Amino acid sequence: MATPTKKTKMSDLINYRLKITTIDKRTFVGQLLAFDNHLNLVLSNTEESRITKKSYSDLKKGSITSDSIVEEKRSLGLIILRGEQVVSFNIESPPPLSVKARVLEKGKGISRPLKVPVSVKSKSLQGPIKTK
Amino acid sequence: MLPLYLLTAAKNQPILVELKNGETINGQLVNCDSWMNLTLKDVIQSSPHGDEFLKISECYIKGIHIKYLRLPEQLMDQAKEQNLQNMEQRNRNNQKRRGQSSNPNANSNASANANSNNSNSAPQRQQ
Repeated sequence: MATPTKKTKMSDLINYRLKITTIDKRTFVGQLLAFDNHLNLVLSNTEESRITKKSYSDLKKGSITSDSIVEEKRSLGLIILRGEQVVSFNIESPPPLSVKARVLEKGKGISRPLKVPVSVKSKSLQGPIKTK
Repeated sequence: MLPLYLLTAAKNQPILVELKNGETINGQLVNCDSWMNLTLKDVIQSSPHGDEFLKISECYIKGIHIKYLRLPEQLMDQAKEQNLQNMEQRNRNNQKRRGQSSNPNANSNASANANSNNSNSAPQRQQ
Protein backbone atom coordinates (compact mmCIF):
# COMPACT_ATOMS: atom_id res chain seq x y z
CA MET A 1 0.00 0.00 0.00
CA ALA A 2 1.76 3.09 -1.22
CA THR A 3 -1.37 5.22 -1.53
CA PRO A 4 -3.66 5.82 1.42
CA THR A 5 -7.36 5.07 1.08
CA LYS A 6 -10.39 6.08 3.14
CA LYS A 7 -9.81 3.13 5.43
CA THR A 8 -6.12 3.85 6.07
CA LYS A 9 -5.41 4.48 9.73
CA MET A 10 -2.44 6.19 11.27
CA SER A 11 -1.40 2.86 12.79
CA ASP A 12 -1.24 1.33 9.29
CA LEU A 13 1.57 3.76 8.46
CA ILE A 14 3.92 2.60 11.20
CA ASN A 15 7.39 1.76 9.82
CA TYR A 16 6.61 3.63 6.59
CA ARG A 17 8.99 6.33 5.49
CA LEU A 18 7.05 9.58 5.62
CA LYS A 19 7.71 13.11 4.46
CA ILE A 20 6.38 15.53 7.06
CA THR A 21 5.86 19.23 6.43
CA THR A 22 6.00 21.47 9.49
CA ILE A 23 4.68 24.97 10.20
CA ASP A 24 8.10 26.52 9.59
CA LYS A 25 8.05 25.04 6.04
CA ARG A 26 10.75 22.49 6.71
CA THR A 27 10.30 18.89 5.72
CA PHE A 28 11.32 15.85 7.71
CA VAL A 29 11.78 12.51 5.97
CA GLY A 30 11.98 9.57 8.33
CA GLN A 31 10.66 6.17 9.28
CA LEU A 32 7.63 6.41 11.58
CA LEU A 33 8.18 4.37 14.74
CA ALA A 34 5.46 5.77 16.99
CA PHE A 35 2.80 8.45 17.35
CA ASP A 36 0.26 9.59 19.94
CA ASN A 37 -2.99 11.53 19.91
CA HIS A 38 -1.16 14.89 19.86
CA LEU A 39 0.47 13.60 16.65
CA ASN A 40 3.85 13.66 18.33
CA LEU A 41 5.94 11.46 16.06
CA VAL A 42 8.98 9.31 16.66
CA LEU A 43 11.03 9.16 13.48
CA SER A 44 14.23 7.25 12.84
CA ASN A 45 16.97 8.02 10.29
CA THR A 46 15.43 11.43 9.82
CA GLU A 47 16.63 13.97 7.30
CA GLU A 48 15.53 17.57 7.63
CA SER A 49 15.49 19.82 4.58
CA ARG A 50 14.48 23.38 3.95
CA ILE A 51 14.48 25.71 0.98
CA THR A 52 16.95 28.54 1.51
CA LYS A 53 15.78 32.17 1.70
CA LYS A 54 17.94 33.04 -1.30
CA SER A 55 16.27 30.30 -3.30
CA TYR A 56 12.87 31.71 -2.36
CA SER A 57 13.75 35.22 -3.49
CA ASP A 58 15.37 33.93 -6.69
CA LEU A 59 12.21 31.98 -7.43
CA LYS A 60 10.13 35.12 -6.93
CA LYS A 61 12.35 37.06 -9.31
CA GLY A 62 12.17 34.21 -11.77
CA SER A 63 15.95 33.89 -12.05
CA ILE A 64 15.74 30.13 -11.29
CA THR A 65 13.21 27.47 -12.21
CA SER A 66 11.40 25.19 -9.78
CA ASP A 67 13.69 22.23 -10.55
CA SER A 68 16.88 24.05 -9.62
CA ILE A 69 15.82 24.98 -6.09
CA VAL A 70 18.62 24.67 -3.54
CA GLU A 71 17.62 22.66 -0.50
CA GLU A 72 19.66 22.69 2.66
CA LYS A 73 19.67 19.22 4.18
CA ARG A 74 20.90 17.82 7.45
CA SER A 75 20.67 14.41 8.99
CA LEU A 76 19.07 14.20 12.43
CA GLY A 77 18.74 10.46 13.16
CA LEU A 78 16.23 9.50 15.85
CA ILE A 79 13.88 12.34 16.76
CA ILE A 80 10.62 13.11 18.52
CA LEU A 81 8.74 15.68 16.46
CA ARG A 82 6.20 17.66 18.48
CA GLY A 83 2.66 17.21 17.08
CA GLU A 84 1.97 20.92 17.21
CA GLN A 85 4.54 21.46 14.45
CA VAL A 86 3.01 19.04 11.98
CA VAL A 87 1.09 20.47 9.04
CA SER A 88 0.86 17.49 6.74
CA PHE A 89 2.64 14.38 5.64
CA ASN A 90 2.78 12.04 2.70
CA ILE A 91 4.18 8.58 2.18
CA GLU A 92 7.72 8.62 0.89
CA SER A 93 8.18 4.85 0.58
CA PRO A 94 6.83 1.62 2.09
CA PRO A 95 8.65 0.07 5.07
CA PRO A 96 12.28 -0.68 4.19
CA LEU A 97 13.22 -4.35 4.55
CA SER A 98 15.11 -5.22 7.68
CA VAL A 99 18.67 -6.56 7.34
CA LYS A 100 17.50 -10.05 8.31
CA ALA A 101 14.79 -10.09 5.66
CA ARG A 102 17.25 -8.90 3.05
CA VAL A 103 19.75 -11.62 3.96
CA LEU A 104 17.10 -14.33 3.89
CA GLU A 105 15.92 -13.29 0.45
CA LYS A 106 16.83 -16.18 -1.86
CA GLY A 107 19.11 -15.67 -4.82
CA LYS A 108 20.33 -18.07 -7.49
CA GLY A 109 23.83 -18.60 -6.15
CA ILE A 110 24.93 -21.73 -4.28
CA SER A 111 27.45 -21.96 -1.48
CA ARG A 112 29.02 -25.32 -0.66
CA PRO A 113 32.14 -26.45 1.18
CA LEU A 114 35.37 -27.56 -0.50
CA LYS A 115 35.65 -31.31 -1.16
CA VAL A 116 39.11 -31.45 0.38
CA PRO A 117 39.84 -29.06 3.23
CA VAL A 118 42.53 -26.48 2.51
CA SER A 119 44.47 -27.44 5.62
CA VAL A 120 44.89 -31.05 4.41
CA LYS A 121 45.86 -30.21 0.88
CA SER A 122 48.44 -27.50 1.42
CA LYS A 123 51.25 -29.44 3.04
CA SER A 124 53.80 -27.71 0.89
CA LEU A 125 53.61 -24.55 -1.09
CA GLN A 126 51.88 -25.18 -4.42
CA GLY A 127 50.76 -23.26 -7.40
CA PRO A 128 47.09 -22.84 -8.16
CA ILE A 129 45.25 -26.13 -8.59
CA LYS A 130 42.74 -26.78 -11.30
CA THR A 131 39.52 -28.24 -9.96
CA LYS A 132 36.62 -29.71 -11.85
CA MET B 1 5.55 2.63 22.49
CA LEU B 2 4.33 6.23 22.67
CA PRO B 3 6.61 9.19 21.92
CA LEU B 4 6.45 10.48 25.49
CA TYR B 5 7.24 7.02 26.81
CA LEU B 6 10.37 7.05 24.68
CA LEU B 7 11.22 10.44 26.12
CA THR B 8 10.99 9.13 29.69
CA ALA B 9 13.32 6.32 28.61
CA ALA B 10 15.85 8.98 27.57
CA LYS B 11 16.40 10.17 31.16
CA ASN B 12 20.06 10.72 32.06
CA GLN B 13 21.01 10.63 28.38
CA PRO B 14 22.29 13.54 26.30
CA ILE B 15 19.62 15.08 24.07
CA LEU B 16 19.29 18.02 21.73
CA VAL B 17 16.18 20.20 21.80
CA GLU B 18 15.25 22.65 19.08
CA LEU B 19 12.82 25.34 20.19
CA LYS B 20 10.23 27.12 18.08
CA ASN B 21 12.46 30.20 17.86
CA GLY B 22 15.28 28.11 16.39
CA GLU B 23 17.46 28.03 19.48
CA THR B 24 19.02 24.67 20.16
CA ILE B 25 19.70 23.31 23.60
CA ASN B 26 22.12 20.48 24.28
CA GLY B 27 22.09 18.78 27.64
CA GLN B 28 21.55 15.75 29.78
CA LEU B 29 17.86 15.03 30.41
CA VAL B 30 17.07 14.99 34.13
CA ASN B 31 13.31 14.76 34.07
CA CYS B 32 10.27 15.24 31.86
CA ASP B 33 6.48 15.18 32.21
CA SER B 34 3.40 14.51 30.12
CA TRP B 35 3.42 18.11 28.78
CA MET B 36 6.95 17.53 27.45
CA ASN B 37 8.31 20.02 29.98
CA LEU B 38 11.96 19.16 30.53
CA THR B 39 14.68 19.73 33.06
CA LEU B 40 18.23 19.43 31.78
CA LYS B 41 21.67 19.69 33.30
CA ASP B 42 25.11 20.60 31.85
CA VAL B 43 23.40 22.64 29.15
CA ILE B 44 24.79 24.44 26.12
CA GLN B 45 22.33 26.82 24.52
CA SER B 46 23.00 28.05 20.98
CA SER B 47 21.31 30.92 19.18
CA PRO B 48 19.22 30.37 16.02
CA HIS B 49 22.11 31.32 13.73
CA GLY B 50 24.65 29.31 15.70
CA ASP B 51 26.83 32.31 16.52
CA GLU B 52 26.28 32.61 20.26
CA PHE B 53 26.70 29.92 22.86
CA LEU B 54 25.73 29.92 26.51
CA LYS B 55 26.80 27.40 29.09
CA ILE B 56 24.21 26.76 31.80
CA SER B 57 24.44 24.21 34.61
CA GLU B 58 20.70 23.57 34.89
CA CYS B 59 17.75 24.51 32.76
CA TYR B 60 13.96 24.09 32.56
CA ILE B 61 12.19 24.04 29.20
CA LYS B 62 8.45 24.45 28.85
CA GLY B 63 7.19 21.75 26.51
CA ILE B 64 5.05 24.09 24.43
CA HIS B 65 8.17 25.86 23.08
CA ILE B 66 9.68 22.66 21.66
CA LYS B 67 9.89 22.01 17.94
CA TYR B 68 11.67 18.67 18.07
CA LEU B 69 14.02 16.58 20.18
CA ARG B 70 17.02 14.64 18.96
CA LEU B 71 17.70 11.46 20.88
CA PRO B 72 20.62 9.02 20.99
CA GLU B 73 20.38 6.51 18.13
CA GLN B 74 20.49 3.39 20.33
CA LEU B 75 17.71 4.63 22.62
CA MET B 76 14.90 2.82 20.80
CA ASP B 77 16.50 -0.59 21.37
CA GLN B 78 17.24 0.22 25.01
CA ALA B 79 13.66 1.34 25.59
CA LYS B 80 12.25 -1.79 23.95
CA GLU B 81 14.46 -4.00 26.08
CA GLN B 82 13.46 -2.14 29.24
CA ASN B 83 9.81 -2.43 28.26
CA LEU B 84 10.16 -6.19 27.76
CA GLN B 85 11.81 -6.60 31.15
CA ASN B 86 9.06 -4.60 32.82
CA MET B 87 6.38 -6.70 31.13
CA GLU B 88 8.03 -9.93 32.26
CA GLN B 89 8.31 -8.61 35.80
CA ARG B 90 4.65 -7.62 35.79
CA ASN B 91 3.57 -11.03 34.46
CA ARG B 92 5.60 -12.75 37.13
CA ASN B 93 4.02 -10.61 39.83
CA ASN B 94 0.54 -11.25 38.45
CA GLN B 95 1.16 -14.99 38.37
CA LYS B 96 2.40 -14.87 41.96
CA ARG B 97 -0.67 -12.97 43.06
CA ARG B 98 -2.99 -15.34 41.23
CA GLY B 99 -1.17 -18.33 42.69
CA GLN B 100 -1.54 -16.96 46.17
CA SER B 101 -5.20 -16.05 45.82
CA SER B 102 -6.12 -19.49 44.46
CA ASN B 103 -4.16 -21.44 47.06
CA PRO B 104 -6.24 -20.56 50.13
CA ASN B 105 -9.34 -22.05 48.51
CA ALA B 106 -7.49 -25.23 47.64
CA ASN B 107 -6.03 -25.52 51.12
CA SER B 108 -9.27 -24.75 52.94
CA ASN B 109 -10.51 -28.30 52.38
CA ALA B 110 -7.18 -29.86 53.27
CA SER B 111 -6.64 -28.34 56.69
CA ALA B 112 -8.40 -25.75 58.80
CA ASN B 113 -5.09 -24.66 60.23
CA ALA B 114 -3.60 -23.67 56.88
CA ASN B 115 -6.82 -21.94 55.96
CA SER B 116 -6.70 -19.72 59.01
CA ASN B 117 -3.10 -18.75 58.23
CA ASN B 118 -3.96 -17.86 54.68
CA SER B 119 -7.05 -15.92 55.60
CA ASN B 120 -4.97 -13.86 57.98
CA SER B 121 -2.39 -13.01 55.39
CA ALA B 122 -4.65 -12.62 52.37
CA PRO B 123 -6.11 -9.20 53.24
CA GLN B 124 -2.63 -7.80 53.74
CA ARG B 125 -1.69 -8.66 50.16
CA GLN B 126 -4.74 -6.96 48.79
CA GLN B 127 -3.83 -3.68 50.43
